[in-house]
Amino acid sequence: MHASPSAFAVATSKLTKSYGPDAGVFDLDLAIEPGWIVGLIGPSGSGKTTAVQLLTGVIAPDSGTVEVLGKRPVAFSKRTRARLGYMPQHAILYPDLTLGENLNFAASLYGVPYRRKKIIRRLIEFMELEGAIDRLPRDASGGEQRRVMLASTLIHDPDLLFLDEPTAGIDPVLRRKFWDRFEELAAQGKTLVVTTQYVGEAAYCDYVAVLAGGRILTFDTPEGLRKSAYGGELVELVFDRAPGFDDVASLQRMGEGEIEWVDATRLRLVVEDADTASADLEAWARERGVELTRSERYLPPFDDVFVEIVRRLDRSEEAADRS
Amino acid sequence: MVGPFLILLIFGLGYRENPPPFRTLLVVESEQSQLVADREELGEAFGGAVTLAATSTDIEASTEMLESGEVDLLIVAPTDALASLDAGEHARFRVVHGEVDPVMRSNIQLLAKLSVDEINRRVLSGVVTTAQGQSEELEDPLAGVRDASSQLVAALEGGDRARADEELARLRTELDAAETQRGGADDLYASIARVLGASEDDVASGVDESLDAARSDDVEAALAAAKDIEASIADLQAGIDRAQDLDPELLVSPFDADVEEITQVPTEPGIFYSPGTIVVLVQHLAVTFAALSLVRERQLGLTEVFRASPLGSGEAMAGKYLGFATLGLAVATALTGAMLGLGIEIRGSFLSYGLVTVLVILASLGLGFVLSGLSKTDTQAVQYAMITLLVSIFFTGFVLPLDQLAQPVQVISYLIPATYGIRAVHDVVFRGSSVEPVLLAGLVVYAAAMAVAAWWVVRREVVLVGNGRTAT
Repeated sequence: MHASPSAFAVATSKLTKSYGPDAGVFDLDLAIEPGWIVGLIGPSGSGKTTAVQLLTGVIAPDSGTVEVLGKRPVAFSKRTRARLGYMPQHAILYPDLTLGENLNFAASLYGVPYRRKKIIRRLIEFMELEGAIDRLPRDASGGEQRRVMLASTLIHDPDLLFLDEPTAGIDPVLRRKFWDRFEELAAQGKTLVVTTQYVGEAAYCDYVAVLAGGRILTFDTPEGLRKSAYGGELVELVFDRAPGFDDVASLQRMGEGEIEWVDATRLRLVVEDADTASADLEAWARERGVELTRSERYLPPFDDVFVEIVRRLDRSEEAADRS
Repeated sequence: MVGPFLILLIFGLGYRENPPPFRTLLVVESEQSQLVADREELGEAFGGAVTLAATSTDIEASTEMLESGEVDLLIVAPTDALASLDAGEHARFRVVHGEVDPVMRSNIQLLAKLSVDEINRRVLSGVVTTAQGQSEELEDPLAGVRDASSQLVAALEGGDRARADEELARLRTELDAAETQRGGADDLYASIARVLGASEDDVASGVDESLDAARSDDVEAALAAAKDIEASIADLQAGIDRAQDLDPELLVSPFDADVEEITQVPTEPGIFYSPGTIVVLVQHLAVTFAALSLVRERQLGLTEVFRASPLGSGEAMAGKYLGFATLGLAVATALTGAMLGLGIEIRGSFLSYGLVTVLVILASLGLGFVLSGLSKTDTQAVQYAMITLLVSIFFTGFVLPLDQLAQPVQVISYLIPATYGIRAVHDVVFRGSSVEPVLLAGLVVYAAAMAVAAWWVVRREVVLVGNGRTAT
């Protein structure tokens, strides 16, 4: 972190909130610049919601420091709070008000001007809620409820949004639409902090913090995550027929780590730079007379990246324990 | 919301001010008893509170009927009333019942007492009537005596000694005739004495002395004596006339009582309880809504949303008070309209009535918010609201006057808004007066104190940062 904390939209240092030995968040270090989409990714119980609650000032930390928009969340002024948007994990709606009325209530909560119909209408279009706006929550689908929650978060045009699992429980098509909206918001200059259990959504983020056990395992770009997970970039090679033992050994020496066999004629190799390596590999194939059908960069799904990250962490911890 | 009102409406429509009469069995010594013949009159003595279903001479069978519930009361007549009186004791009616309700028991005891008083009054009235009849029998003999005495005076005044002697003799003859008619001098003098309220000996000796003096040679003395006799007879006649003119009922019950109200307001139970009912219902509504408000928001997870928002505690409070107060006022207006529609007028100013209503609502909302802060679930909140309602029924003067509660217990009364509200609306509605300043001040202070406590509760819920997991 080279910029001063006040230049960051969010800055934390050793932020801790404990609910027990393995519950809460511990020593959270984050620095989020304005305009980023930052994903907090981790399994259930990894501390994502607690982290968001600490950043929004809903709960107070046990130790550490946190600044959001240059202010301590526990001492937010009304003006600062009006610059934040917070979408809780669950759909929180008044059951006796229609979705539209709930949206109107949210507008009142954030002091949106009395002539708010235009704003609401725009949001309804933005979130594709035209057909559902007059329904009661119990008559609306989960996706419609989540869209109203998101619209409520946006109604006062906040600068910084905290979205706690906004895509939980909705179908992949709608999920994709949500991320399209998030990208539009980021393009408008807003900063988004999005928590999610869907590891694959890391691909949509500018930066990703991987959480496990209340701690950040790594904080990097999606590309950086892939690199750190595997120790480099992956190249996938497809042969016409299974390569011989010598060829494989030679290939192994060209790469950075173990070869991952997909099947008898397909393998993946970790290299420092995939683009450079592809050309080298094609040259190697020509030299050795190996029929190389295809050589290209392989982008592993983030589920695999996450598993690999956790696996690496476990291995390093075991090594630390042995030493 | 509609439930309590419906219940009260049905209760009001179904409530009977006077309970049905007791089905009663008259138990007598024999069917020839005079009481059997006078059964109707005996029933009247008990007023409309009993229906004399039948008579019986079998006390055991009658008791079985009472135990089985076929009848509600047994009136067991005294077996030998005269013998009891001769022995110097009361002749007792026994009123037997199987009631377990203490209020009904008290009613029966009061009924027995009043009814026996009525029976005694009727007996005494009969005795007086008999005595009046007896005094009528003195009319004719007295007429002759009066005439003879006035003639005696006239003769003596005229100096006609011979005629005076004749009239004196006639007077004695008339007196003897009266004695004969009455069956003896003792009876006559006793009758006169009773009427005059004098002793029989005084009456007898007075008349004899005058008769002797009338024979005197001294004309002046004789005339004075004759005039004394005439005056005595005139007094006797006046006394008899007075006694006959008097109503026996008045003689037996000379005193009666009139109850006057300075309020001049009809206070049947249905009228009296209406304003208090409105106060209690409006309080209950406000307490319940306020108590549920914060609890529900906590359960829905809205507390988390509020804490992340710019909503301040003052704004939250104002919104809740405004919303619920508007609702409470609408309900109070509807109920008051219903009360007016039933013909119960507000004798005081509508402004005073409205002020009290608004203060009760505000005080009740504050109390409700405090209860909300103490409640962890909506079930708990409802229970607290119901406890408040129960306390309101017994401790606020709604059913029982506050004075019937011991002073230390009255402290509880003044912790409930309805206590102030009920007293205030009674003043305004029934007495037509303005609200007592002490009551008004008490209600204002209560509402303000509850508002401060409510502000603290709301602030803790929607503004202050939590230290634990929020409800999500």
